[in-house]
Amino acid sequence: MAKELAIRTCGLTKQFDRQLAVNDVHLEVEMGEVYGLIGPNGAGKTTLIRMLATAEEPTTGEIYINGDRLLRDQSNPTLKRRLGYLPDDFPLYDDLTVWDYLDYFARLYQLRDPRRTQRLHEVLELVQLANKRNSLIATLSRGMKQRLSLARTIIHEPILLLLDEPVSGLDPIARMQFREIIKVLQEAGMTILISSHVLSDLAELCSSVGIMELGYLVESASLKDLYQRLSRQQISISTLGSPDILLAELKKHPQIEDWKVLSAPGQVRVHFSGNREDSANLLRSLVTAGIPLSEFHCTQEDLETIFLKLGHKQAS
Amino acid sequence: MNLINQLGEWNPQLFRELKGRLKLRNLAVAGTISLFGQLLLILWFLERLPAPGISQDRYCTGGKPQYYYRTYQCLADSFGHPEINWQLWWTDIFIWLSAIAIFTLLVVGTYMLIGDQDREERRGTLNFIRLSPQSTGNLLVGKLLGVPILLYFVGLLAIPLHLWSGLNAEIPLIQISVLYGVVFASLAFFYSGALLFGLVSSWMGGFQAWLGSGIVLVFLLCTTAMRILDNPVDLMNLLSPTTVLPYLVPDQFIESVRIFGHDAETLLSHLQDWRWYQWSIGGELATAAVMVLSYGLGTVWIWQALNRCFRNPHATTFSKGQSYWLVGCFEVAIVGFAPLYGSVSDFSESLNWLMSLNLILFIGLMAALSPGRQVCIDWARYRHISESGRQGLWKDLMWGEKSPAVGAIAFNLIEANAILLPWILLSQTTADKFSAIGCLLLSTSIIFLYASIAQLMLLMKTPKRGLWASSTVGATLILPPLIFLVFSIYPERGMWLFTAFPWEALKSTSLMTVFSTFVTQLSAACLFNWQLTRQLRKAGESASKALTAGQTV
Repeated sequence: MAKELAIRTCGLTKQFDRQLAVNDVHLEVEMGEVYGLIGPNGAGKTTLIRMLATAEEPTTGEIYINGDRLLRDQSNPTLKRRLGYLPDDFPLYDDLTVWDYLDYFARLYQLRDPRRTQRLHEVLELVQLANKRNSLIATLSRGMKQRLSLARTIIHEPILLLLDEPVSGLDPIARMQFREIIKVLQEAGMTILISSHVLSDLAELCSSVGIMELGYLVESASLKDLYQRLSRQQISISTLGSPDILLAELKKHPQIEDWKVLSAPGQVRVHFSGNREDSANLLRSLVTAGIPLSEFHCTQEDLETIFLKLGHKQAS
Repeated sequence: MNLINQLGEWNPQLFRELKGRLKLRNLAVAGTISLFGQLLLILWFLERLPAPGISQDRYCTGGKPQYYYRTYQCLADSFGHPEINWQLWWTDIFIWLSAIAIFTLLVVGTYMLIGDQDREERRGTLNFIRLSPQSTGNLLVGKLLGVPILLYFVGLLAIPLHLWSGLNAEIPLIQISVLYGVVFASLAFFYSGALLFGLVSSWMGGFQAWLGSGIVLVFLLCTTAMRILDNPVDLMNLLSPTTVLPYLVPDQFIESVRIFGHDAETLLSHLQDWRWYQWSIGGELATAAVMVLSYGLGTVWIWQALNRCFRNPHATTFSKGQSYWLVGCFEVAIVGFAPLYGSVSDFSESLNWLMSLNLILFIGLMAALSPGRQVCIDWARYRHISESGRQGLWKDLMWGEKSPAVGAIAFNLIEANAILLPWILLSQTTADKFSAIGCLLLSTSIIFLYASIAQLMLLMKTPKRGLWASSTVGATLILPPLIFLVFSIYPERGMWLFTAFPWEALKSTSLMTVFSTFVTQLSAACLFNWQLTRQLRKAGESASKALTAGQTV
């Protein structure tokens, strides 16, 4: 049985002046998925997310959240309660304390005490800001503000999170903390749509990805499917002897598609079309040929390589 | 804090505003300003008390030396100190404090609300509030009550002195309550207006708070102590809370008290004869009731617009359907102040004011109804697949959400004329009614011309389209009369027919000239609309068609 869809858009289009920022997008995201949206700057990711969050009116097209039509007017407050949206510039109120800020948004989303206080403690714990609850927002670091914004986004327990470049400008530790929080939210059953330029993060978090270019959704598939279709297997091989002998031996194997001699001494990377057994056979034959191997390591091309390989050439 | 929490349960926006503003330091500053201001007022009036040895003064208790004098002879007690008319002294304090409070609350409050909207819009936080499931009404009421909270605090601290001075002046408590009721209704009206102005003027880049509060200040300065003139400009009096002040002056001082330099007696006598159609609205309760009703009606209209614009900042301020009702309401209201009986100059004055107020209304409507470039392009490009587009072009132009405004403006002009024309025809005056009808016609054609120019300018590619459109309409409105005046071409001359102020020129112009001017102005408007249609057609072409033809809009 097909899974229920958290997001479905039909012919979603947004035109700015005569420029189509989002062009006839048919997006489908299943419930519980973490869906990564990638593409160069100006591809239409932010506009698409803003339309899904009702921050922007589509020129044409329809949006369905959990099967219900999403409109920008005052109708359907219940549907809006299910959405959590974190824009890339995460504006905050500097004159409030962390607690008051979250308390305000919890009230806006109609959370009542004692559940509200309990929820405030939960999210502060989750975003590791419990010790800053009485601090003025103006005194927080960028990473803390980013986490506070995420806390604001999830305070009302939405079932669909829309995160636009949530880790931009964060240092590696803050990024890692943010990633961990997203994983916790995913485990809690939230559907998450996240756009980011940090493809390694998306590869770690996402179950599906969509690639946007010039307003079109040019690719939308599960990460597994994408790897299967577009990612080639690579083997990194290092020898203590001469790389020429290694290359001569490799040429004998038809499953070796091509190779590249790397800058480290005796290290070669090959693209390999065989399966796991074939790679074991390759290793055995190299050992039998007396090549002094120091490394034999199978990997797959990563998301970034796949993205670059697709040849989308829209300028950033 | 508990109270704030409880209020927050009812209105989260109010909770946010109170939490951000009610800090001890802010309260101390606001309290000091209020108390210090009251102290200064008292000291100023104490300074005006007669010193021992003075023979006549405003606050003495003897008779007037002459009936037209504003001072009284001083009667001294056994120590040589003059006896003081404390009731009059307190009346003066009461009137001054009322006027200062009204000005402060309206001008400063307007500034605070527009400034707050601007800050939220620039910071990007207004979007989060918009996305929340709270109703527009709930959110904006929170802003109305919360943003000027420190100003309310300043006002609240002044209430004891205000009440004390009123009671010492022997003004009945019920009359003071009526004043409070009118001021409260005026706050709802002006503050709602400030919220709307803040929403639709975000393109002004920070200047809008000064502009909005400046407009309120000028309005109050013009209308405070403006006597009832028995013509349509009396609508302004209806919207100025200071209008009720003369009613509060005790009868025995009505000859002595001046409000902003105007005799309370004159103001009161005109107020008591005030009429709307055949109904008398003179007398404190009747005036106050009509004022509260007007504020209420105005506030309801403003909230109609707020409900539209808050959720979707790109929407026009009013829908076309709403504009038809609005114009109807406004015209019926102003015609009510134009008397049917009177001299030629009364008729001419009323007609001039009707035309002026009409012009102001329609300039506002142009801003409120004309969609921007993006909406027009979307309309032209996707009309065929939209709900309203399938209903036919004319219906779409009259009622459509995204269609250009010229059709609706034309319909509104016809509606306005349908209300104004019977007044001209029914007026019992010896004035030339053909000139008056000519005036109506020319005003219609020039407003339609302005609306066509405004819509065309809003379709321009330049980023500051709104500014360009308003400047162009402003220039076409003001520059020709200015240039004529500079070159000593006075309003009686025929060239003034081509301006928005043709009244004087009409008196000495033939019917044929009036008609040909009307046709010329309409033809010019048609030319602009032809250009508008051409541009919209281009905008409606598909991108591929435009690409193959190598066109740009």
